[in-house]
Amino acid sequence: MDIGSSRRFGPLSRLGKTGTPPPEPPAAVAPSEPPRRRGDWLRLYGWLAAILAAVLVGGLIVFETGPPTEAELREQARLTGEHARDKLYIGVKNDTPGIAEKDPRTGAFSGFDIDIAYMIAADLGFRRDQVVFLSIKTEDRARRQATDDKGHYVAVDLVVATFSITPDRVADPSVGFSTPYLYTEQSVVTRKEHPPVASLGQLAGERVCTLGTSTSETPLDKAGVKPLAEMQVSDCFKGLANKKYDAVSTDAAIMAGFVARSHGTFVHHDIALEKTEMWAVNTGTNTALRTLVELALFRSYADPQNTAWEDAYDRHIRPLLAANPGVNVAQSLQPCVKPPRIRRWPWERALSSDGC
Amino acid sequence: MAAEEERRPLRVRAPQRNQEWLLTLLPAFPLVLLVMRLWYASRQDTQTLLLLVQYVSPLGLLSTVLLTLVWVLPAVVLAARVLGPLYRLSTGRPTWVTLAADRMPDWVVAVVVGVGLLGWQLRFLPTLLMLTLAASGLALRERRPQDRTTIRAICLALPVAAGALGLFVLRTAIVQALHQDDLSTLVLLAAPCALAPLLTGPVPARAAPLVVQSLAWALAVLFPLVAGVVVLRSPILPLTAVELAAKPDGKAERVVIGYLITTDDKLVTILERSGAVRFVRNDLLVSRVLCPEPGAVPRTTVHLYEWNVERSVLSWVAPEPMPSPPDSRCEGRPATPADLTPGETTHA
Repeated sequence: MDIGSSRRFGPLSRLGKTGTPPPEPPAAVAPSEPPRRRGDWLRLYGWLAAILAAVLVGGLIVFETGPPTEAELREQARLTGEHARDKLYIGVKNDTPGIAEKDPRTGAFSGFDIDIAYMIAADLGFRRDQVVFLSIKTEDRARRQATDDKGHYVAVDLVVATFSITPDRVADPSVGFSTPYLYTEQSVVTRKEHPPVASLGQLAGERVCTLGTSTSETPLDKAGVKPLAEMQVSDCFKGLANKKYDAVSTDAAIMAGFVARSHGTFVHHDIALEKTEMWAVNTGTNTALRTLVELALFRSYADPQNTAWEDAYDRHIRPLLAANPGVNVAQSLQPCVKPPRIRRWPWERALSSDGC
Repeated sequence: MAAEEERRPLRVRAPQRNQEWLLTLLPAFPLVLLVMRLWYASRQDTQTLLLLVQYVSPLGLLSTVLLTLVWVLPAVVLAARVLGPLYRLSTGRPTWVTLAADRMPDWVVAVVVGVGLLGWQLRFLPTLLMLTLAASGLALRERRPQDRTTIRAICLALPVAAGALGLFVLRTAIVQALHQDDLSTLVLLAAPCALAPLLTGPVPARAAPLVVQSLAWALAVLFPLVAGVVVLRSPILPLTAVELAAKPDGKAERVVIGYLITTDDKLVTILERSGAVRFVRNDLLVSRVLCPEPGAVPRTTVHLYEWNVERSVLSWVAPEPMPSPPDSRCEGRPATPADLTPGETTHA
């Protein structure tokens, strides 16, 4: 092939040749303005488009890092890496039968919230003996301050403690709600001699106990009932038993265990409240941990093999239904979870979601 | 003195001869990258660097670097074979890229296209197709300028057909990229197919230097840069987690995660991820496990018949690893019974 006026570019063109001068270029190929050809300008635009596309793609690939991987999230959530810890601290209730109850003799916790907490902890890489449950009071759930056996306040990583999502709590910058893990509703429990209750308005003038700083206070206020707040829901039921209170009103799932255990002394009433109480996990300001919690809930929701949620429901809530007829204690299906944005290997992506 | 200078003929630019020595710099590039990689791993600490140099096998490291950079070869060869002929066809003159391209035989181009097909990610294969078509079209125009029929077939009909076929084959992936607002994947999959027929011939003579020279210089600067970044981020030592006891043959209390430099009959030397070097007595060691390096997990979920666009043919064909839950030790916590294989023992 002829190399045109290669003399002007001597060094490279002579690479590897042995001293023979390069052939003179024929005069006909002397550099001159070549004739205009059809399509030249179109091709130039093609090249410019290609260059533009290359710059765009290069910039996007460099600057668009995409969502984090699960391992990166665990490191960001300070569960692994330099801040690695050997225990996961979870704040739970300690006095709610069926949901989260501490055995006074053994100190062991059991209930639906406990099983959900174990399921999340397992997904975060913590086994059962690496999980520490601490009792948390209703008003301390937003700031994630639980108390240990000696009564000292301890900051916990997660709060799984019948904590309902409300606009006010969502607006609180120190609260970080996951997607909900249980749907329930507010209801009323009275002693069996009390006439049936169909709405909160019927309780006007009666002594109604509820939990302080809980979502149940507002509907009672709206219905004209002056609720008397207790710190622990078990105190409400003690008061109901010894006639200090006439009724208790809070989430049906919290009270169902007390009703079941009362052997007919207490009666559960369904009141026509439309609002669904959505219990969620509070991870505080740790957003990476929140994504990991949602991933655990998503796996339980979308993976047909993963029956941790269903098992927890069957073990702790379903046995309570017989003692609470006519009340929708808690929905028996796990609330829908959207797939969290996480970078995964293609072979790990086997779960599909119905997209809620 | 002044008179002498005046008599001297006007200084003309010396012809650039004997620049072959520049070629000796070529093997130096991976070596520089290698040392840079070690310096990077030692977090700029000279003593750590010296320790690493002492124990890291240079041959193994060099092969790692070269294997990491195999994908660069098709890009360089094809870029030269497209830009060189494009310049000469458009202006009638050669430039340095043209001369470099003339030195690349056709079989080399065929081999590197094969390497690209196997080693490039799916999302870059349309670009490979586009460059191969452009290179063959431009070569044909140079070698048989009078054969109008063949030129029309190879430079117009073939790219149009190949582009249409490419868009048809990739349509499901393109639709996914559209749905996911994944602009970079969308452009990478669709643009080369659409642009392929436009890159097989000359451009206006006045525009050619701008297009060719700017592209050639940009690539000459970018390729080493990108290659350097890729090498600096690739692992060179196995990432391990070791469980340590407080006293000899005691119970595991702490976990150290880091790169294993060497083991002898007295000590284990570990480079922690923070850059600190730790020497651990063998009798304090309880157990050891290999940890997965947080690797190049694909960013996008766009796939073509379960073939993720960020995977190459080779990795698509290769057997996929068994997904397993991460080991507690790799997360910085002592092992639990579930982590240990039957042969492994702990001092419980």
